[in-house]
Amino acid sequence: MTGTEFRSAFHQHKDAIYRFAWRITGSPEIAEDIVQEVFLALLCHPNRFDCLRGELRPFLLGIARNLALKCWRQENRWDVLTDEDYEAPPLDVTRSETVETVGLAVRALPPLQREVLVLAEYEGLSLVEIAQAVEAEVGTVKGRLHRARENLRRMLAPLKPDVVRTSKCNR
Amino acid sequence: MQPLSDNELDDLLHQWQAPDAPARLQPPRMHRPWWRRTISIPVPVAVLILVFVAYWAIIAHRQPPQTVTLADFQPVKQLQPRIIRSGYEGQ
Repeated sequence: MTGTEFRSAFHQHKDAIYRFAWRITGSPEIAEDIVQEVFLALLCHPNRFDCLRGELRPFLLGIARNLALKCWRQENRWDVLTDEDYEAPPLDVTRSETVETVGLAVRALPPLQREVLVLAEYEGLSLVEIAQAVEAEVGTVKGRLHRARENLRRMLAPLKPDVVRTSKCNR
Repeated sequence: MQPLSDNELDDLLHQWQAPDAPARLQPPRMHRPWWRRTISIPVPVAVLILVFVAYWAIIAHRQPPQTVTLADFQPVKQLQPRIIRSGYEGQ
């Protein structure tokens, strides 16, 4: 990879990597660090990217995902990294705005559900690309995405338009 | 409480926008001393260079051919003629 190609890749994908890291970690500082580390990894080991196996963006998002997971492990050393048994309760929406509540709900998801949801809903990756990024089978990704959406449906149920209208009328 | 429908969930999810990367973020640069830098060259070029270097080394170490110059012709210091007769003349 030449210097020009590297700079072009940086400007093309930095926003997607930053958005992903920001959504996953909730921290602008960590998201910036992740962007830098992702592109440093590309600079030091350009041969690890094989264009025959897929696009550059899922590859870079995969590196960002590993770094975000590393951060999560540092903060939650004793938590088990599982997503199957998690059932989210509805959120308390009386004290926060809709957008904030959605962010809170997504960040409340277990990391493995959160990452596939963000990659699918916000970065527009296909199931195959997500599977490549998170190093999992397509079926596993599909299951995590389904569970993530089910949890969000429950968590965000208080934001259902008719419920919001009723609660506003009752105030 | 009734959970959200697919469309309602999609609508809500898309309200949550993430910011783009700050403009100050620049591509990282690798600060590597010159003696640790590498260059990549295609294998055929590398093979050609090796063949050329090997050929040059062989040529350089080969002994130069012996040539005779006029300086090698010196006058004879002590002439010792030796006459060889054929066996027929004595008979």
